[in-house]
Amino acid sequence: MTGSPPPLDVAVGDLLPALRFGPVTREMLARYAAASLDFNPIHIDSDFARAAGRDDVIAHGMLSFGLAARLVAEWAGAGRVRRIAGKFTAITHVGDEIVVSGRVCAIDTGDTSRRVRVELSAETGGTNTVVAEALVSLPLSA
Amino acid sequence: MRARLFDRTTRGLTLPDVTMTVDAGAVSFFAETLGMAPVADGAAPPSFFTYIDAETDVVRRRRGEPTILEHIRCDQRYLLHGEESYDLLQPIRAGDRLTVSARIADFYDSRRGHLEFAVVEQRATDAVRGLLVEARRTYIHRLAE
Repeated sequence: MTGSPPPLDVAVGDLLPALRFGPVTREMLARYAAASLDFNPIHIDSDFARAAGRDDVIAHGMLSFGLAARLVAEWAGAGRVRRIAGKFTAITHVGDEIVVSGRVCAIDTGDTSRRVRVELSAETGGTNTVVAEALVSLPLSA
Repeated sequence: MRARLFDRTTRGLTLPDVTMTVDAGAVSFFAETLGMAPVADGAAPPSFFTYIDAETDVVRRRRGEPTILEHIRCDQRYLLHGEESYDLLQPIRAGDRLTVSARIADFYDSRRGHLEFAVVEQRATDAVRGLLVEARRTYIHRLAE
């Protein structure tokens, strides 16, 4: 029911395999706008973006947030992610590559499952754009 | 510095619920756009609620009601997305029959008044499986460059 097998051998400090996306193009932003129904013109209309004082359209923060969520979902299985929360700290521009990394920062072992906390960050060109955390529910190790 | 823009009289406002069926194609396209392989167990990507949120806007416009952003008077020129959180009690799945509730929870200002914040809370409940998602989003207006 939860798809791929869960990671069983998990320890605090473990790094999730980093994920790279992009470089971001206007086409990717148009696709993400259609997929998420977020058609805020700051993401898809260069004329609007310039009138708002930007050099060009900017990426949806939720694109980077979604990639952070993807990193955890691919590691643990989408159905095991119990919380994803993030703060948007900088803007991603057209041409930027998004790099998402994650690290296990706490494991709380209960009677029937383990609750694993993962800290996540998305960055572009060394600047943090999203700082996030996820909670994942994993079965007890064998 | 610009004057504050959010309509703070909407604090505490609960919007009329929206019901919708989660479309399998929408889940797949959302996953593909993030570069995810089709998910074997049918659980939507963990950030999929953002699509559900936007779909409630579409429904509200069709019903002739203001959207959340219209209620709080967001100005797209100065709008930033501050924070987002989804507590996923259960994953969203294609075919779910959702009722989505929304409440304008709070407004506040940054210490020097350069930013103002609006907090919106939403819940998605499936007709059969019960509560799935508790979502919280913070919008920001830039009031100074």
